[in-house]
Amino acid sequence: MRRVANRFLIGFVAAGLAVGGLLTAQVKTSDPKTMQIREIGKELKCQCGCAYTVADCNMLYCHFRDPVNMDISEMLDSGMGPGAILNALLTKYGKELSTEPPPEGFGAVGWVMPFVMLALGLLAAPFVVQRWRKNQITADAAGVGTVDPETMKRLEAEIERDLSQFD
Amino acid sequence: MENLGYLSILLAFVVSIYAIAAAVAGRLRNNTFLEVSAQRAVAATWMLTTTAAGLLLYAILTNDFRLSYVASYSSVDQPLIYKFAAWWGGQEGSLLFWTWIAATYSFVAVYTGRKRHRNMISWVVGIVMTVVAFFLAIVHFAANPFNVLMSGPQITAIPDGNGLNPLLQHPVMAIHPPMLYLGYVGFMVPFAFAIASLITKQPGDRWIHTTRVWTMITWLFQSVGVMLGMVWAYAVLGWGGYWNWDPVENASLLPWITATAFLHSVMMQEKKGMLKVWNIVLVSATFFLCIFGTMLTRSGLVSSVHAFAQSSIGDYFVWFLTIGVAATAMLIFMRLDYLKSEAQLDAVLSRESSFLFNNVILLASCFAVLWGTLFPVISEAFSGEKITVGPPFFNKVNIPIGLALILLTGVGPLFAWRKTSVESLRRNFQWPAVASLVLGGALFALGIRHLYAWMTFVLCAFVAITILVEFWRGGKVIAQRQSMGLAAAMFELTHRNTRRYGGYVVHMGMVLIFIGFAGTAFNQMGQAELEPGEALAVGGYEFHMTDLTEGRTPVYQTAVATIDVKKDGETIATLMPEQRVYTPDREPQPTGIPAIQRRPNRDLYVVFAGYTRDGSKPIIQAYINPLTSWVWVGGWMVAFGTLVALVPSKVKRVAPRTRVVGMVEKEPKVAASR
Repeated sequence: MRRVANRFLIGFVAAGLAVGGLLTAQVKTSDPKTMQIREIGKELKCQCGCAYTVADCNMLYCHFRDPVNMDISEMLDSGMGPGAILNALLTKYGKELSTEPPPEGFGAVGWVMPFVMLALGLLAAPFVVQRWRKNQITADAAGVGTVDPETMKRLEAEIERDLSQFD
Repeated sequence: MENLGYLSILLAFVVSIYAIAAAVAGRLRNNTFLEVSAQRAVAATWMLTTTAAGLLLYAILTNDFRLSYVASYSSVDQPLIYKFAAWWGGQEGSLLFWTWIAATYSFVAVYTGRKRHRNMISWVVGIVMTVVAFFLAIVHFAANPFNVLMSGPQITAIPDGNGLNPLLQHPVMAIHPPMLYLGYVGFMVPFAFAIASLITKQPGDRWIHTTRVWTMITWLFQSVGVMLGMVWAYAVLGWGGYWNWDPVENASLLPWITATAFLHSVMMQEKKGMLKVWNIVLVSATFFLCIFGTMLTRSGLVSSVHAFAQSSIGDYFVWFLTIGVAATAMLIFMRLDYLKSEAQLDAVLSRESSFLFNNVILLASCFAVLWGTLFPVISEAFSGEKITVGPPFFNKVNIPIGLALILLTGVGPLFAWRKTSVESLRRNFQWPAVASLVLGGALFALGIRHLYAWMTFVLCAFVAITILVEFWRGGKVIAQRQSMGLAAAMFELTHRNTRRYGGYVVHMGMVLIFIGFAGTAFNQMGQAELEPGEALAVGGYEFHMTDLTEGRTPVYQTAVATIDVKKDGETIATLMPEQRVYTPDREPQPTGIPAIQRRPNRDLYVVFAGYTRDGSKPIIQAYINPLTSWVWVGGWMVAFGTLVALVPSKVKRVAPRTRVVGMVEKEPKVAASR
């Protein structure tokens, strides 16, 4: 009986400690600076071969991500804004860090081309439709398409018969 | 055994060359013996390739570490499922896998189509065997999986292999590559039928039916393969997302887009004899994009996390693509007269026009993805400066295009073939448009301010309502006529025209996928260094670390965090993200195994991202990903809808042709001859 009581007591105390521990758990929010580093890192392509951004690279002790994050941290401490930090890092490590083509030079071609192709397609489509329509009007005027159903049925039967001889 | 493997591949290569020669010579000389012999050579090629594949698999399963390939991608304690996966886990084995699937497809296509397409089957044999021979040549001469480890002149063996890359040791990776390959390689068959029909100037559209069915089957595999790749990335890579616009991911998407365009535009050819050149171009583009994708994965042309080791086989692919594209373009050019449209357009407002715009949008999307993927190479060639392109570029370019596509998905089916009256448009559009705009207003009132997400929800609602109305209208008519319940009537409706209603199910699946995509606009993420007893608050949730267990196996070090997730003080989940650091002979490789709680409205996604520099505290990342499950549900619905569309319809439909060019001009001659 005493053994049971002891066990109950120990269990009760342990549960109390656990509940107490949870109630007093230190709830953190994400460190604003860490999140700023991540946000800037999302704009930079990691160069370790992982194909992710600096923010998402999960390589252990990545030779590229870690120094870049250190740089970002130092630049934030020095009071630089995200735009200035990005420019400074692109100057330091090269433009291949960028996840987007720059809006000038050949980079602008990169931005514009997909929309140029879409625009060309959308501009060409009405012309194609018009051409189909024109052919239809010409055909109607020439009397094409006035085949009576009986003639059409007979012709189709003939075509089918001819085609079956190919097999 | 390695000698038998070498021999099988070499013999398969020789027999495939014979098949090409016999098929072409047999057709040109009208020699049935040679033509039949070529078909049997297809079977022999398949048997020899199967033998080689079987031998490699046997070597992997029996831990034959004399073979360099087995030593590199398998190990003694590797679970059986991953020993199978080792077959396609490395460059040489995956190429043999590719070749084996191609040989199998060739065998099935030739033996199921030899009577139906007697006039062109020899050309089909010639084309599919050319592809198989090309891959057999690569496997034999450049990437042979039967190469042995040598120590001087002696064959040697190591006691245990390196094992499969830890990232690939996930159940999905045992299915994802085969599905993707079945998709990639399968597009070879529609291409072969299309080119054979061009060569032989096949009358009628029988080949179109065969091509469409093959395209649907391979499109299904490709869709499932792409989806499984996303599932794997989400469950394994631990960055909280499922699509990173990686070059290899893009390579799998490109042929999927052109095949989707073909599956729509082929209806124009079936029903009205239109877009013949366009369809041939789409089938050819799909096939060559598959080859291009295979090259991208293996040549090291662009860097990718998914790519195989850089090798010289890229040159082979460049030559194959150059010759193949040039020959195809020349053939299409030579057959332009034969490919003239038979019918014209009755009205601008018609299903035909909507298909045309659908194709323009799909092709623009394909171009945007291809352009972004190759832009680093293009920019380096033209400006001398390698400009990289990442997810922000692809998202900015493709989201507007995707929205236009979703709009057309809803609008297109509401147009009638030939001509649509304004009254019919008003009738069809009125209620879906009103309902989706009311929903849009409600979402705005609820605080949705992200423009693209808001537009996606509104357009998806519009498309979903149009699809449901289509089912409801058709089902109601059948229910009234046949005195049955609405659900049974809808089933009957679908069975009567599986292709149309299966297509609607696919569209509904795409709607769900797009809703899931829009959910990413509201993702939240938090990161903190936590110890047991500490918690991280993200988006109304608290992630309490209650325990941290560390351990070690012979293969990896492991650390598992136990995290109770609380909302409003109540524990709603216990998640256990793990980090493994594999310790092979090479540098240590970390693998995060995220812990995920999936719910229809959101996923809780927790990653054990590593330790602080001094190794004292774990770094925990917590993501709240709204609506992610909708992507997976939508993906399975797309697969289900495709299966429905593949079931033969209960009511046999003959595609109504409006007119056959030249019919009337010929008709008097027929009459005169009587």
